[in-house]
Amino acid sequence: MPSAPSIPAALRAASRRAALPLWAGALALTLLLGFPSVLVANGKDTAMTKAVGANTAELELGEGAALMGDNRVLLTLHDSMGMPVPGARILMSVEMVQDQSMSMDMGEKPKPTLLAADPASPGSYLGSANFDSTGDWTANLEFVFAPGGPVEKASFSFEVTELASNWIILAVFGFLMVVTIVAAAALRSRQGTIAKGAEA
Amino acid sequence: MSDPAIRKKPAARPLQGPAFNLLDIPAFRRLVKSRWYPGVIAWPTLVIFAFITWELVMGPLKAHDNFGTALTWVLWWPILPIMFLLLGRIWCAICPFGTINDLVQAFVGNNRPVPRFLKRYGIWIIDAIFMLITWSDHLWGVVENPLNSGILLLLITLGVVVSGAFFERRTWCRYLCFLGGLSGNYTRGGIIGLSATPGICATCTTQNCYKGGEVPGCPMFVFPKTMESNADCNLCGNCVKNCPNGSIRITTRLPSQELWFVRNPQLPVAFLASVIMGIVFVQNITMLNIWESILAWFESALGISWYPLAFSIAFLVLMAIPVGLLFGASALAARANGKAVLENFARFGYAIIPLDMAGHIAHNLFHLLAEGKAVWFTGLSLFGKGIEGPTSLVDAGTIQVLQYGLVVLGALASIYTAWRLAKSSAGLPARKIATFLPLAVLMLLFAAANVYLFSIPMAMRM
Repeated sequence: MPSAPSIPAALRAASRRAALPLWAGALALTLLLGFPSVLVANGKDTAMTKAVGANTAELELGEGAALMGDNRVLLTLHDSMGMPVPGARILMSVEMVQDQSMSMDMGEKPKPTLLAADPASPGSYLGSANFDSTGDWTANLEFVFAPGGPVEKASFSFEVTELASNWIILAVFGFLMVVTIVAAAALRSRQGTIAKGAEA
Repeated sequence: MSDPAIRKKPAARPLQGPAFNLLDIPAFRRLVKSRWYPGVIAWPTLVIFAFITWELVMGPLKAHDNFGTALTWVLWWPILPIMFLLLGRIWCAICPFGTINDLVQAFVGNNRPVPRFLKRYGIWIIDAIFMLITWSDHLWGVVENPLNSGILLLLITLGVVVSGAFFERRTWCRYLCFLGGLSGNYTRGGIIGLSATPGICATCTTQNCYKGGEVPGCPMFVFPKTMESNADCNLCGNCVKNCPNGSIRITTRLPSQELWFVRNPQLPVAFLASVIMGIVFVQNITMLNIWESILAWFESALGISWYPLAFSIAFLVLMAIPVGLLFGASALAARANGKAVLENFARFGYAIIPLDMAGHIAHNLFHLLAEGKAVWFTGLSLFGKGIEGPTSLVDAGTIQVLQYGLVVLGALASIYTAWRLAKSSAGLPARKIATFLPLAVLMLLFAAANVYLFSIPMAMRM
């Protein structure tokens, strides 16, 4: 009659059997967690372009994304030939998009601010905007391209987010690493206990 | 002896050509044998890595302003292939992922044997991951998006933690790291090689180099006595420290020399070599005006209006072109040398490696030299000193001349490698030439494509 395998040998065999599903699981988890977050994380670029009369205006908010709090505003104007358009007077106001069914019009309009021409970069205009909550916002701009000229208008819609979401990404990865380490430590401890038992 | 790495294998042939043993230099020998090596470089690298990951995830969202992006994609990534050429796979000895692996292993490691399927299909998985990362970069932006770059680093770190926690040695680095696959391929063409002295190893009874002694055995599962390639050696020096007989040599060799003597060519290595050529094409062709027309044609021909799907199909087609061309050249060569087409594919795929490396260095030379000052600018911005200005270190013309020069050198090395491989695979002189010709044409075609693509202005990362 063949003898029963020793406990460490059985454990080794079991661990070998478990290796494939373990790896497959780890890879699947990595792909499942990783790539959707890559997809989501990339939707934050806030450079927006609109035609304003014969010119093109590109509005950029913040450092690549509109975030709660103070944000830098960079507006770049180009004509139809792609040449910068200096000397324009640009007023900008920002307001949060209200849910029509829930909001009451209090008659208050946001105060427009004048964007300052960037002396170092013709056709670029700088300013700042403060967003006090996350959600959908609109920037309303009024352009006067030449003194006494007509007023052209354009609106840009965008989403304001919180940087805190990046903490969540770090926390998720940190959690997964800690779980892995705890599981490995528990497994090692169990193996050690079984091996000692077999020796005894 | 039970470990498959150290049984049933004949001793490797000694390195050929002019070889100078760097371990004969007392200071170098002391450094490699020191307990501080490679930790004295690896630990600071880990600290810098932690900072970079933090900066990528929590720092400025625009690549232009992110110090982590500048350090990773403007400095580290372009220097890496140059390191592989000049210093072998030494990066892997100081890589932060390797250090994390060792750290996790030391505290909670279960040291299970490498799963059999990884040993068998590891390089294929590396090939697939390499393509997947390039594909996702084009679709969603990894290089140009600091957060996505940070997520990529975190994903790799998670994989390394899992590997270090459950499996022995550096399973991740050897069988799963996409960068390891790339570095392995490039190291074959590098000018530094580690080898054992067959005469000394023949009488060795300890095999400490593999099993461990003074320090752990080879982390990369390499047994120096039987190693035929430096692709998996990370020059960590463990074998030098452990060998009681002074058998290990770290020698200089001619660029691409190892490739001339391939004895057991592996299909996935050849496949990766041609895939890297495809990646160079994808990286460059997506910057051309014709790219939009190609995509539009795909969309109308296949009736697809969803960009990710259309791009994915176009991407696969572009990646398949160099693979298909190599297959065609191998089939023509097979008529002359009488070998199987796949056998030729595996063997002659190695000849592409020097051109791959040259193309890779040339491509990244642009980022290093045209955007190099971005490292300085973004570094200063951490201290509130915002500087804007041209980021180039040299003018565009100089960079282009260097790029063309590198491609020409790479092409010469590839053609010569193809000749050596053709010579060793065919019998009669006429057959050698007939075997070599389709491969030479292929290398010239790849070189011409590279030169054309480098003649077109490239997009900046920063």
